[in-house]
Amino acid sequence: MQSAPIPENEKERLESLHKLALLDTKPEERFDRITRTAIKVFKVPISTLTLVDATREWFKSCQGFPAHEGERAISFCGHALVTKKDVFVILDTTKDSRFADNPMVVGKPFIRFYAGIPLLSADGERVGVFCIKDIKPHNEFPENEEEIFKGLASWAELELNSHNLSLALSSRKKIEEKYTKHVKELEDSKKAILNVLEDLDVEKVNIDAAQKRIEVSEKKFKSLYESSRDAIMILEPPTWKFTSGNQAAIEMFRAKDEAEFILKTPGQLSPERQPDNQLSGEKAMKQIKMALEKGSNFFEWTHMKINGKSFPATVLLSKIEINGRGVLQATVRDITKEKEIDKAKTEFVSLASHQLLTPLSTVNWYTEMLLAGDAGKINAGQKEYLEAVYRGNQRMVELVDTLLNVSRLELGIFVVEPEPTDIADLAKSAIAEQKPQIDAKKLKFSFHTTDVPKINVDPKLLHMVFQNLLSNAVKYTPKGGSIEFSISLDKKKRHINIQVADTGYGIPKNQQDKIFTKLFRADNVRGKDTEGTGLGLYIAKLIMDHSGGKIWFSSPGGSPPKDGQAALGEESSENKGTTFYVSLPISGMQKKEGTKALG
Amino acid sequence: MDKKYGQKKILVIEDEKAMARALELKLAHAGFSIKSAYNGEEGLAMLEKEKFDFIILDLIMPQLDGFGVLAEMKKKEIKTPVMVLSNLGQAEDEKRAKALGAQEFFVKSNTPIADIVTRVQAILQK
Repeated sequence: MQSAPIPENEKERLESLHKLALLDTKPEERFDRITRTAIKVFKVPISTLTLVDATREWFKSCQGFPAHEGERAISFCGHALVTKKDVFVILDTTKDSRFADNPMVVGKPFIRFYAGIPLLSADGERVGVFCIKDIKPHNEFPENEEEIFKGLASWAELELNSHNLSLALSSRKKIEEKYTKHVKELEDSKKAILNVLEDLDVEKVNIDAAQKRIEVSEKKFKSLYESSRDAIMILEPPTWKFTSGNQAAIEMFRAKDEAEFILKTPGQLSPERQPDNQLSGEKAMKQIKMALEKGSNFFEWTHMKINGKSFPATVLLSKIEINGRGVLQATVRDITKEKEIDKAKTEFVSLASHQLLTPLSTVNWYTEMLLAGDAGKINAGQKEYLEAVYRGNQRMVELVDTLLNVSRLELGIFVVEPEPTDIADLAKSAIAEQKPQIDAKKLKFSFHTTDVPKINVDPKLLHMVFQNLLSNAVKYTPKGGSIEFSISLDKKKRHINIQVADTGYGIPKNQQDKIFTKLFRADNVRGKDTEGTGLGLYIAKLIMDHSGGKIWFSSPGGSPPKDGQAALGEESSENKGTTFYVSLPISGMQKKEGTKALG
Repeated sequence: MDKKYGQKKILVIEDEKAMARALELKLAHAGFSIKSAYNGEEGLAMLEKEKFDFIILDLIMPQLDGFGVLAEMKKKEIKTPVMVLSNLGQAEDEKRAKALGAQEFFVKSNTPIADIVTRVQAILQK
């Protein structure tokens, strides 16, 4: 017996066969139809549609045969598979040496006749065989029967491949679906990317707009910077030299150009020492340090131009950020003119006062001498007139002195020289000055003080305040009235409070907001025979403002309201008296440099 | 006339003639011998010619003011006591005058003439 031969392209053949995915599937009517037709037409008992696998033949359709598969080696279809003819025919198996002793010939099912046609897959591989088998030998297999047989085999082949086709179709469908899915995913990705691009576009528009705004603001700044008449310079760490300056700076310092200006330190653009005798370089670093700590620092400074000429200036150092670095911007203003004007004003006031005081002093002295009888004894009438002259003159002297003080206060050029002062002693001396008037008007005067510490105040200035408050109290309280002067420490021990309370004419409600203004005298006391300049409270307030203290007033017994105003609803009503309050911080007055003392 | 003080000689250096005259009158009344100069230079010239027991000195004057006179006196070591009379009463003027050797400092407009005389007497009594 000859085993069914294995063709050369067995590997490919098997691949193709398995691709069909028909092996071990259920019988199908479309295949059974063909094998049934075959047995009817050829009047044979057996017809199979065989698929030839690696080691077996498996029947997709089988008529007249009990099993569904068999060994490939002994199979007829295995032989038919490799036939070179169109049809592989064995008319009598016993007469063929290849099959005479085949188990299927000598044993069940006793095959005597076989005809088979290979079936090709769509790949062109012989995947199986369509065959008919008989238990009787045949004499012949005529041509017309061969044709019919070929026809049936073609049919079988078609069905074989249509399964493949339908598989292919369905897999194509699957592929199509996958493809469609992929396409959708791509579409979605595309949409997402488009969205991102859109956002980027919007971003870009925003960035462009912001860029434009920066440009506009840069232009604005640049134009301000360049056209400003104040010198604007930048100092950069760590050496704090000037790294840039605008046109005004270049001109102010008489530099040839920015290059000559930059990389100089503030010390190099100042005289060796400042007016307070500190070395400019050292003092400049102190100012820079303070600007860095506080964010800004405004101070007066003496600068020096490149040609060596010094000039007074105000400097504003501001901390700013450029490109994330902290630098200082210096705005410098040449105040030579202002200083000259101030100087001229001060000199004018001094000169005017001097000129005015000279004849006043003369009148004073001669009147004194007349009253003293130096030019001869005077009678009562003459005494009266002379005394009137003298008093009038005294008032003028007072007025000129006051005007001088006011001008110094307003110009801010007065000196504050604090020293540890016993407030009570200072008050007592001011009170002593008023004693003659107090006695003359038979006023009841009381003085109270609790234990208050000495504080740093300029005694001259505070004396002026006390003097003013006391003289007002005395002036505006009628005969027999009373005045109380008290000094105390506040609850938190942070302020010294002074009160001057009188039982005098009081201040009309509608005039209270003018009390601290220049040359003001309330209507209700203008008629009373009093002297005074109308400037005393104005001066007192200026002094208190400048020295970090407070001054205000109210009706007696009322609680101290805000600075300078009576408490709402509680006014100093006429003839109920007035109380003035002065409050000084325990830290005292700040030392103040100036050119003139108040006197 | 107060003979107790003898004839102490006082030099008044003051540019306001009426005031110089007032001082002359009042001080003569108190028994002093007075001479007047009307500006700083004149005053210095007189100081060089004769000896005085006391000087009353105005601050603001043309042709060498009071400070100038004091400076010159210091340089020339003229030790005569000086009372400075000022119109304005500036604390810094007082400091400066006293630093230059002035013994007393008064503000004219604030000081009755009688008080000035009393002070002079008190100083010269010593």
